[in-house]
Amino acid sequence: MINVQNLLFTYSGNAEPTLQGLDFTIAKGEIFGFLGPSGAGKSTTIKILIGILKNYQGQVTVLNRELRRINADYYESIGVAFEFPNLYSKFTALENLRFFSKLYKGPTTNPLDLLTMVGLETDQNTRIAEFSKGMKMRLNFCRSLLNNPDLLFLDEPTSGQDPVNLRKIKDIILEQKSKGTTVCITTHDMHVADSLCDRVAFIVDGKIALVDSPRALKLQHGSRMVRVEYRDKGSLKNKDYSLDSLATNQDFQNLLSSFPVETIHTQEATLEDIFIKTTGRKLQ
Amino acid sequence: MKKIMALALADIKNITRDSTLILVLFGTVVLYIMVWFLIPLLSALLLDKLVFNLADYYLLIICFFSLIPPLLFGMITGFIILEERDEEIITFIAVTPVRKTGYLAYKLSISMAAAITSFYVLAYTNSLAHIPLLYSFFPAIMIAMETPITALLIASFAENKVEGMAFGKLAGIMFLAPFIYYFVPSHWKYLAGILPPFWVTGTFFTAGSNISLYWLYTVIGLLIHGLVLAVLLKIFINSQR
Amino acid sequence: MRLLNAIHIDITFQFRHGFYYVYLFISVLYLLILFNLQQGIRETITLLLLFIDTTMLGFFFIGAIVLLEKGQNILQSLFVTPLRLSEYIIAKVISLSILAMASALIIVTPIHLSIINFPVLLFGLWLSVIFFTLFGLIIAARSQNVNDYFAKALGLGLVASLPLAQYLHIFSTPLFYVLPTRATLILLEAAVKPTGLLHIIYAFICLLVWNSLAAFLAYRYFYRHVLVGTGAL
Repeated sequence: MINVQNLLFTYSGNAEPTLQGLDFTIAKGEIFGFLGPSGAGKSTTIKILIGILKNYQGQVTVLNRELRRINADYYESIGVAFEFPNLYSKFTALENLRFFSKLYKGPTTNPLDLLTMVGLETDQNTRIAEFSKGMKMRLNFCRSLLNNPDLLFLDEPTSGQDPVNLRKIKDIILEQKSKGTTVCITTHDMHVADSLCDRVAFIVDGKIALVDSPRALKLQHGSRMVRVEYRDKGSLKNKDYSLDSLATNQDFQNLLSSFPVETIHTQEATLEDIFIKTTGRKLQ
Repeated sequence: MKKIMALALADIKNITRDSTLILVLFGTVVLYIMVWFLIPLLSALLLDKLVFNLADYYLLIICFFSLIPPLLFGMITGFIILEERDEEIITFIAVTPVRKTGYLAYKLSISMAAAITSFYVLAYTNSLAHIPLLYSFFPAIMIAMETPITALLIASFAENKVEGMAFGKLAGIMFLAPFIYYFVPSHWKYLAGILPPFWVTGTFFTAGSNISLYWLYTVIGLLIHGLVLAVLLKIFINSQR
Repeated sequence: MRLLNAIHIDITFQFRHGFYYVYLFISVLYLLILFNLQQGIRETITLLLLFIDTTMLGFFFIGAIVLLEKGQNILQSLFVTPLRLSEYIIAKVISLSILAMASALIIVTPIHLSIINFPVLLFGLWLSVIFFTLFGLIIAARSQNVNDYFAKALGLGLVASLPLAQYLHIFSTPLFYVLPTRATLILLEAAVKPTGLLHIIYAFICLLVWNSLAAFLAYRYFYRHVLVGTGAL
């Protein structure tokens, strides 16, 4: 779907390249996450992939076409939602979506269905000027889905959403995946990356530090231990056991039978830990 | 005083960074060049070629030109307010001890001072026509008040810059007031009295000749200016999102 | 289809921002004033109003429109759809020229008996409106905010208005013939008084050349300074 080789990019006026040779491939139907602190090159990468920044070096093939040779028809088959969205503030949600849907040649999704999916159906006739930031972001998310894209680019799709709407957006992204849509996400929210992405790439200082699936990373970087929290005469205590011989571990069995157990957790690493460990940086 | 200084410092920084100051200076210079050089030149040419005596209209011309600084500065201030509202700077200032009223008072008094200065320089450095200095005080006050009127017309009603342009265009109608006063012979012209500059023109044309009428126009003019300004201020304070 | 849709949204946008109400009001006001003027001076003033109000309508508004779309990130959303930059620019030009021409039709009614060449008036005005809208787009692409746009537009607008000196019989130089506004004034005058065919042909060619140049520069500057640069993304 997307094949990037040795991608270099320098903004005019900058001495240092913002992207210093990226390599990655994204398969069809995959949800791929770009993780990294702001300024690391996430947005620049996305801007290149959506064909806005053209004078890059290296090979970028998207939908079997070299990106330098694409024209505006490329946008028939992709959907993009930016982090700071805005639509025409004096138009209603529905008017905005209708206008944008008429810019596409191919079949488009009914704007009302999209609004219903993100819980904005009761606000369809409200002007955007009266929308909250979260509502605007959800509307903008709808806009990116209008043309049934083969490829979806989402920049921080979940920031500023309450848990209910966060759930809705995640579900829609997963539903898109099940329809065969390829999704590229940038985020600095590790939980979102963990629960959505098939694979994640850590980007720091214009380089990819690591690419793998969240599950593989967590297992690989974690310790194979389980931690038991229990009550001993009113005070909270904990004890760690190796996962490997847990079934025959007598000490573990004794603890379970003699104390009230409160929690049991395996000690795989969080994405946040791995990020800090591999890049030496914090995410925020 | 310290608060005002802080606001002024921020403005000076802004002004050096964008072209607002250039716009103010440039507009004023063009205005002075017209009044000092172009109008006398035009006048001589017209007299020579078309036997048309522009000198008959000098007072009208000066009156018209006196309105340009308040309307121009008012528009600029209006757009600064709109811009700062978009960038949420006003919300930010409103939660400091300066408050929204302090912010507004500061912005508007700066542009009023600029308009009043510009009026006096223009009115008493040109060789075309002027009203007796003794009678210039009240027209000057009214002219100064037209700055916040124009600024607030844009800042109170417009939701954004584009609407601001539409209201700015509408505010431009005020430029017609002197011509209506001068050229419309019937009493219908007093309908144009809802345009504040109409009364400024009235004082201009009665200052040296008809003193009782001058005072009548001054009183009505100040009332109209005060009323329009008060209404706009109220709308602006209440309408802030 | 895409283009028509873009024009439709631009006209609706302008309508909702009050452009049509403001222009209806102002045009009717002009109409009342013009009706009250004496014959002879009425034609001069009408053409003057058409020149400074109608032809510069796009110049006056396009800066604020583009800067608003840029500031509110609407351009970001627009240019990740199949909408072409050329279509975006054409839609802006056409929508604003519709408003300008409608206003012009109201303003010319008091002198309709004096008009001897209506097509020249309409077509000349239309080309001039297009030129000034494109000119405004070029300036807007390089402006930070509305006051910045004003400053640049005021300066360049004054230069563009220089041929008015010839119209008002103050001063004339052959250099004026290079400016598109000289052509505009020739065509406006040609509408009410007999003018040589050569003059009219010159004026149309002059405006067409300037319009092509402006369209080229508007596209280029918009692409460079708004789309790729700091602007849209």
